[in-house]
Amino acid sequence: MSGAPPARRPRNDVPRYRVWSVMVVFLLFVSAISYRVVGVQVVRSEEFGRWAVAERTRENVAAARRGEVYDARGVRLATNVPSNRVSAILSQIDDTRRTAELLSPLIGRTVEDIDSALNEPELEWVLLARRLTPEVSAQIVALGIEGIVLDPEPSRMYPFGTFASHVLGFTTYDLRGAYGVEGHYDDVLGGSPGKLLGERDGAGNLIALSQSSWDSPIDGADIVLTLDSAVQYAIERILADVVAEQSAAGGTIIVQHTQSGAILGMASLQTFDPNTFNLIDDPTIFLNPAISMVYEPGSTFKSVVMAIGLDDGVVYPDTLFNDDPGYFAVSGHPAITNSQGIVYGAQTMTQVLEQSANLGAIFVAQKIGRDRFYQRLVEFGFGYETGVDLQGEEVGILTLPMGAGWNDVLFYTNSFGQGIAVTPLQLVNAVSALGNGGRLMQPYIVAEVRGADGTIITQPTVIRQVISEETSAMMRMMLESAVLHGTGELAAVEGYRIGAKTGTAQIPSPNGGYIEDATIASIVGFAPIENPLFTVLVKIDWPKELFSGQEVSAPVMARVFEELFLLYGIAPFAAQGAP
Amino acid sequence: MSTGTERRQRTPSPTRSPARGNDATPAAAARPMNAAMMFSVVALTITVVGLLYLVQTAQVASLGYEATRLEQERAAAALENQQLTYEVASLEALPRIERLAVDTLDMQAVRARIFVVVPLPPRDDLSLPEPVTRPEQSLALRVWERLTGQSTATNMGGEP
Repeated sequence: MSGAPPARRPRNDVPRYRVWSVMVVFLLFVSAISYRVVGVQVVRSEEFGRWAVAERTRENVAAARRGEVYDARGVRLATNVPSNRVSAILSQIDDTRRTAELLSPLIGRTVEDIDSALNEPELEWVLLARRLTPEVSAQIVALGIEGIVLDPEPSRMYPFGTFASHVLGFTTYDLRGAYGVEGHYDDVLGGSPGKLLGERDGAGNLIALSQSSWDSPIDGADIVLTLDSAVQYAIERILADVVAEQSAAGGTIIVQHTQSGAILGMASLQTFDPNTFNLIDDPTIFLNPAISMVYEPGSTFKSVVMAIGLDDGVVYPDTLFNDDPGYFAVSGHPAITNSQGIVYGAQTMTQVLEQSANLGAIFVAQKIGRDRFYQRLVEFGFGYETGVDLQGEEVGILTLPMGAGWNDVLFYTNSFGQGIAVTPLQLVNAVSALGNGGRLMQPYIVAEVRGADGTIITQPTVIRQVISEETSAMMRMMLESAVLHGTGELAAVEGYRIGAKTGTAQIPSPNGGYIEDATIASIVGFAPIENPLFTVLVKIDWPKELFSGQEVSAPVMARVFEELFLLYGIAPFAAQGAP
Repeated sequence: MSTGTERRQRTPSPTRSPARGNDATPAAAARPMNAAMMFSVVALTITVVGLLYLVQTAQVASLGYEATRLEQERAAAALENQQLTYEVASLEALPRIERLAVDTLDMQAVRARIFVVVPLPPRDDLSLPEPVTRPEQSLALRVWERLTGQSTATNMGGEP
């Protein structure tokens, strides 16, 4: 053994313990990985799955398109436009003064204002302006100011500016409707937003063919108004002229289709531009005076009182009344007289309307009886909303017998339109009933709602029959007489038959009583008498040159009717009656 | 005393190996060939399938980006359309139309319509047409028409 070399171990003759060692290590390694794999893939798979999905997927709200608003002729009155809002990331703005100087002419804010905003110590970013047009946005981008960021946001635009602004209302920055049609039909116009849930890549792009869910937005319905832009334009122009001529505080003109109750035009001053609603400091400007402001209707109200008297059969057009000695005494109150203390003596009911006699109106109210009088006024819709489809309607003030604020003199003063407050729309709607055969119609301003699931057409709705057809015919004659021979003389249009009643109401003072020399000059009536199509109310607030409805509003009504006859091709009565 | 090494050295039988080797030589040579071929085929298949999968995935991703681009184009076109709609609506503003008509085209607002009353002349010349009676058809002809579903028509108005 000593001389022999040691036998060499064959190369593959590895000691068994090494093999086992490697195997144990390997098994340990595999076990560790398996443990981890099972832990991740089995035990916490749902949790990690959720994490992974949340990491890849993103939910985006898909805004619904807001419906557009058209007039009766198809003219687009409210639409949507792309716009941007501009913000500043404050830490990235190097020279705030220079940035403010560059942005100021583009976004309509002063340099100092912008500079102050850019130096806000507590903020990381500030919003500088919204609803920027694409042109302005492009100019801002071209400036290349670091830290100035543009974000797209849809916005609502009203192409005609102040046109019919009280009817349209406006939308806020988050596209919620406010006032007018925008407010009343906000749900219909706004639609419902959709939702897109899908996997996205690093740049935020949706990965095609990946799992995604898509709830499509339901676009808002388009709305077609009964408003005729030609009528609206005419009455806005006429109203602006008369308010300027009379140095008046404001005014309202309403044109209603007598037979259906549809609103053809509704204009008021002061007005506003819905595109720049944010610049208005006084929010009462947004209120539509035609439905939201109440006033004492004055003598225009006598037409309604007379219609009730005729319909109840307590008076007739030729019923005689003698107002001698020229006053009506109410215990505890000053005596009531006709305007300017005039004593007319014996006069028919037709003449009472022609002369607008207060004492004659009291006579009719007394004949009707107090409780019956107020019951009929409620039937005409006074003291209640008309239900017109506009936001912000007021109910007026009608104090009922024995109700809060009642006193006995109210019964008499209400008969000639004092001590009661109505909205212009309430009155025009009631007078339409006098002309259309006695049907109190539901006033409305939306003719059609064109949604994805069809078109809803508004049908004229009769609320109730307030007077008979015969009474309506008598009222047409009597109101025509008031234009031909009475205070409404200046409302006449040659060749046409018009019926109207003027009114001159005093303006109540906040301190009690009435404001000295302050009046609301108004007139309400319809034409053509033979088949009334248009009911027009003209109301001028606090005219400074003249003061009565007879002088101020009657000529305005004539202009409005002239425009209406022209626009709708209404032939003069003589032409209609020719054989 | 024999060692383990010796035992292992003895284990292979020199007499059996050639005999087995003689019998297995062609099969042993074929088996590695078959295995290699099989491996190659499997590897090739996996490679092809993998490549196809990659191509498909790449195409899907490419189409996805294309779809995204088209969607962005559509959105941009929609925005442009909205803007143009607004501009058209602005240009239709009635005050602007009136200003253009009056100032540029020398038009004037209509102030009155003239209605011309045209009485309809009495139509004494009109007379009622003479009643025309349909000629009686024979029973045989009527039965024949019922059976065949065919019929004849007669011009009653006298026009060709």
